[in-house]
Amino acid sequence: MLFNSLPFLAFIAIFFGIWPLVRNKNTWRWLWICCMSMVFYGWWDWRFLFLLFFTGAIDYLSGKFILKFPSQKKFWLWLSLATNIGSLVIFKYSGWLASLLDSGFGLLNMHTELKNAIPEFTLVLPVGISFYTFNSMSYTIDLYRGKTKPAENILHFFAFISFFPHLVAGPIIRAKDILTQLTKPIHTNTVQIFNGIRICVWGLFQKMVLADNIAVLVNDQFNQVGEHSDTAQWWLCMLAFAFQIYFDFNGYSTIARGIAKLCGIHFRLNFSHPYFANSFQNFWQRWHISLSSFFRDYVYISLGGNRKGKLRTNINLWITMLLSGIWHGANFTFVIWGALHALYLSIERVIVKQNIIIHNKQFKAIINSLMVFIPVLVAWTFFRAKDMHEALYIVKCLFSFHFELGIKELLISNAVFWLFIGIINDFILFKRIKLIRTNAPVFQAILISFIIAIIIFFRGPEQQFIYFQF
Amino acid sequence: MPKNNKIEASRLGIIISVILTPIVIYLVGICLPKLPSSKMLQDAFWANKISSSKKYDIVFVGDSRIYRGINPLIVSKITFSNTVNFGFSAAGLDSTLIYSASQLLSVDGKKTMIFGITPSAFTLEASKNEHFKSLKKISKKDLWIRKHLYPELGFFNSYSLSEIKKAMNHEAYFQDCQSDGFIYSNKIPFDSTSALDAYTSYFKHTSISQLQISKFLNIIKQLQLNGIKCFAFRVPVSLPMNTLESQIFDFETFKIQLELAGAHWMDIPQKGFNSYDGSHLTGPSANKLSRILGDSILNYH
Repeated sequence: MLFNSLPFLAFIAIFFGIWPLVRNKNTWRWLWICCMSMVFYGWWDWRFLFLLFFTGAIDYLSGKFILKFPSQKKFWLWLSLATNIGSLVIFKYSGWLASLLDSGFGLLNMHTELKNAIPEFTLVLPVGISFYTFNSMSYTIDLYRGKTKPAENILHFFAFISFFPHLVAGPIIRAKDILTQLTKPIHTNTVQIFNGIRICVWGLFQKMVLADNIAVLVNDQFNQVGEHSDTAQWWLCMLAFAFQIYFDFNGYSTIARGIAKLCGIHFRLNFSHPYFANSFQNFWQRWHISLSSFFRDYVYISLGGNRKGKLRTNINLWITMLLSGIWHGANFTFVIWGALHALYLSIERVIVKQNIIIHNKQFKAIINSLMVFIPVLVAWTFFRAKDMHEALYIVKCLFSFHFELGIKELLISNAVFWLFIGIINDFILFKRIKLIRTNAPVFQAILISFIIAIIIFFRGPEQQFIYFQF
Repeated sequence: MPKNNKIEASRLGIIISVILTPIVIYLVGICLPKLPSSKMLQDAFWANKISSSKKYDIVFVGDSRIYRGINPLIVSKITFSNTVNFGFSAAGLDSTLIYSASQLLSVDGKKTMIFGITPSAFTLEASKNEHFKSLKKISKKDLWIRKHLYPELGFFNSYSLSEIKKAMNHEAYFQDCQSDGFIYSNKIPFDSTSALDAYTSYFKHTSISQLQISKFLNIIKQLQLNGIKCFAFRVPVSLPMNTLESQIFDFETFKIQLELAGAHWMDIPQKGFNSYDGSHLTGPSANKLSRILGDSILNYH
């Protein structure tokens, strides 16, 4: 069920119709969250629920046994990790790994058909598997490290992992942040409700108006790979994609935060104007914050972080970024995307420490942001392309400095108009520029009404959220 | 602001939003220019077409020239049969599409399939049948929503800025979706050459696949063996488009091959029709072609 679909409107009406009756009744609250989240998730394909139950049950029990049998806690942690990573490998990577092995054996003149031998059910990717397995893993790891308290019962635990706003596309939440909020009776006041509505409307605007309209240009261009090599058009396309994915994913995270707020639950920010970052490190502190911090806390720091010398720091960085790349999908393009970011971060550690001598502060900030943004755009090429051939073609076009006249038509397109609106808007929010100095409720209400009207009449062609595929 | 004041302000904000939002939506909706064709109705049209379980005597199969060029209502009236238009954008005449079309034939009916022949229907690109397959992929739940809710939500059509600009300049692409798979189309301003460049460039990069043709002919043989009568005809287009396609595709040889496979070739006049872009017929011309085809079918039946 997509946040931007008619069934979700009906779903949310039912959910919040009953919510006030159950939010202060412990067992009913858990049950209501669990049942409705299962309906939400099962709407795609009810068979996916089995995997969610299975991995969830293993993690819940592992958590119990970690505390009950401290001497065996390593075993229970590994069982939880193996279950989650195993599900990911089976459902997300088995096809890719099998074809890699087939190619590898082919190089040794051995003909294998492993790809055709893998069971058919593994070819279907359960929606949101990468997100809920990570949520679940964070629970057992934190229990193992003594950083969180255990869920009191299985309903608490399933309410945490399956809570529908974050279930299929994040943000990846930590047990310590959510379990404590869910265990207390929830009181929502009108301030929270009004804020929740505003946040939801804003998220829907980002997704349905900005991202979906910009997507038209991006999809058209990517359908023309091989047909033209206009440098300007490809730069515009990659600029558009950078903002499409940002508004798409940030839109989703914002709606998720808004819905959670309406339930009286707080989710942390998942994006913070990443394209205005002044370094690559800063970019990763602003982009998909919940995933970046997951990899930082559970991979990078676990590997030793920056505590074991320069070389080891770089190796840890590369491992973390490559894993982050592979997390996004079973394709070499994602590996290269992760590798490029690792490269940027490594170079930054060596070079950027030496300050560029520019006295004008604002000019320096612009130069810094551009020095981050342009390589990020190039890396997005690999993220969006369906294969290496397509990605390399586009990268070649970006740097061939071959100009045709096609960009003129694109510049007056609907997509570029919304791209422009999106960039300006993000800049205004980043700089905290107040165009109208009032927070009066009447003004806020008028703004909400107009944004809803814009969403209804200027929504782009309906697209699935990009991050659902991960 | 003290907490109580904040709560009061938020309560006021919620109340005003709830009252104001429907008013603003209504006002914006009526201020926007009326679109010549509703996107939501088009979605409902395609959902109905792909999920139809009704049975027919005659099924027309082909690409956009078919779904914009054949009015089944007229053919039905002339031939006293139930007729449906099973055309899809950029369709290739391959087994997937033809098999789905054959499922629409009534077992005790006239069991007739009529194929609109265009050169692009035999390219490898068209054989992907992307439009048809993308519709097939839509889940049952979404199809239900499109079929039953979208027709009621015409007021909430989405707009692009270029559509608003066109509407203000009195430019329009009329697409009246009918329940039998036909789209009565017209364009203002009328430009019977506008599609020519796109087709010329398309055929520079794409060639006709002989393999696709022989696969099609084998399917025709199979259909005939199953008691299905097959007809084919060349869809009329503008004169420059006709010339271009005659250079690319050997219609005469194809006609012989088709008749050897057991199907009937219907010689439809290629002149006397109007195309709004050079490729697709205007509504009145589509009706004229449907009458001619209806009469031809009557002769064969």
